Amino acid sequence: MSNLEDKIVQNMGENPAIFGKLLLNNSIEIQSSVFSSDKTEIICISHENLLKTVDFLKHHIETRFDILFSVTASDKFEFFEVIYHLYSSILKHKVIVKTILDKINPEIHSLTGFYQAADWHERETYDLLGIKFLNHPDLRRILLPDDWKGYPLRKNYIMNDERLIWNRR
Amino acid sequence: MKIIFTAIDFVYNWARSNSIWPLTFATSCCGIEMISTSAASFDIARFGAEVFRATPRQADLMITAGTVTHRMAPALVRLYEQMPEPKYVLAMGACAVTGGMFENDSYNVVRGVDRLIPVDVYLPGCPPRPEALLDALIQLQKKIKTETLMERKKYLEQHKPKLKLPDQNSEIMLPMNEMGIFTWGIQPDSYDLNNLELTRKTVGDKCVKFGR
Repeated sequence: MSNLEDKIVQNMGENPAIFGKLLLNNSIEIQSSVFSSDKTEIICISHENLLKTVDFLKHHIETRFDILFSVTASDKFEFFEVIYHLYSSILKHKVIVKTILDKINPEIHSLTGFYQAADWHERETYDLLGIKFLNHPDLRRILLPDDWKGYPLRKNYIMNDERLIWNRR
Repeated sequence: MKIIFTAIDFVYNWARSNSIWPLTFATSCCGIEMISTSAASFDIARFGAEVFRATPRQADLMITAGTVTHRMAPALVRLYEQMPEPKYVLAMGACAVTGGMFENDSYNVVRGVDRLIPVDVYLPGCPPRPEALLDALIQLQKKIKTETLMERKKYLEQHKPKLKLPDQNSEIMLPMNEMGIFTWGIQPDSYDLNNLELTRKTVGDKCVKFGR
């Protein structure tokens, strides 16, 4: 896992950016904090610190991220990356929070306690990538049929379901 | 006898073909063209098809406007089953004809609604213009005008939803789960392709039994 983290922290600048600095000052560990090409800050954290970080970002007076407008994930061959987009309607700024998950048993805490919007986004992420969200109220498939086999957006997904032979090309 | 039937057919088909009530079934962007066709500038009411019904029980024509996914497929088939005879299907757009741009490598798109239900008129385009939809409607009207009451049974046979396996010539019907509600493409694990005992009758009986 440490090697993977090294790969992720490749772009870490000399100094952490605004929110990263704020988190570090309040003794919350982050792995990196950089600006993307469109000047949005990207904070990488470990998945154990997710709830603490999001709690801070939502309630602190200088951040106040009250809107979660996307939860998604990405298969990077060696690990999964879960990506949260946060926006503050009060202070008009946004941030991207990324976490790394293990490929073998990807599990992460759900954010439904903080944001109701996380409910369906996390269901979709579970549906397409098979990432399990702990403490989610209703974690089942949302876009695909309930007894679908496999998770289609994983890189090693092969569709070989015999039941769908009528739909072969 | 035949002369009488021809006269009756003429009146019957004239009445039917000039009042085709479509079902409101728009699954993606082709639906916008369908709405535009029914609106003032193109005015599908000129052909007697302006009454878009929100219930399948009052509809004659199903315009499958858009992509059909696996999740949507059971609902599509159930809507088709609920439509009264005589019923017609117009596959509108590339996605409904062959799967369109999802035909090559998609995991969840049905490659053409004709794998689920019989289609009368195919209308390619991505999406087709409203004029094209009107043309397809006129084609369907022409088709209706050629039908006769003498061969009614033959048409009823054609109107059953069916599947074809690529390696078998036999037509198979919908597999069913325990609840009697068929779910297309998402059958239980025990379903064996070589030993299919699926007939139209069982589906029909179950449907009656469950009040549909």
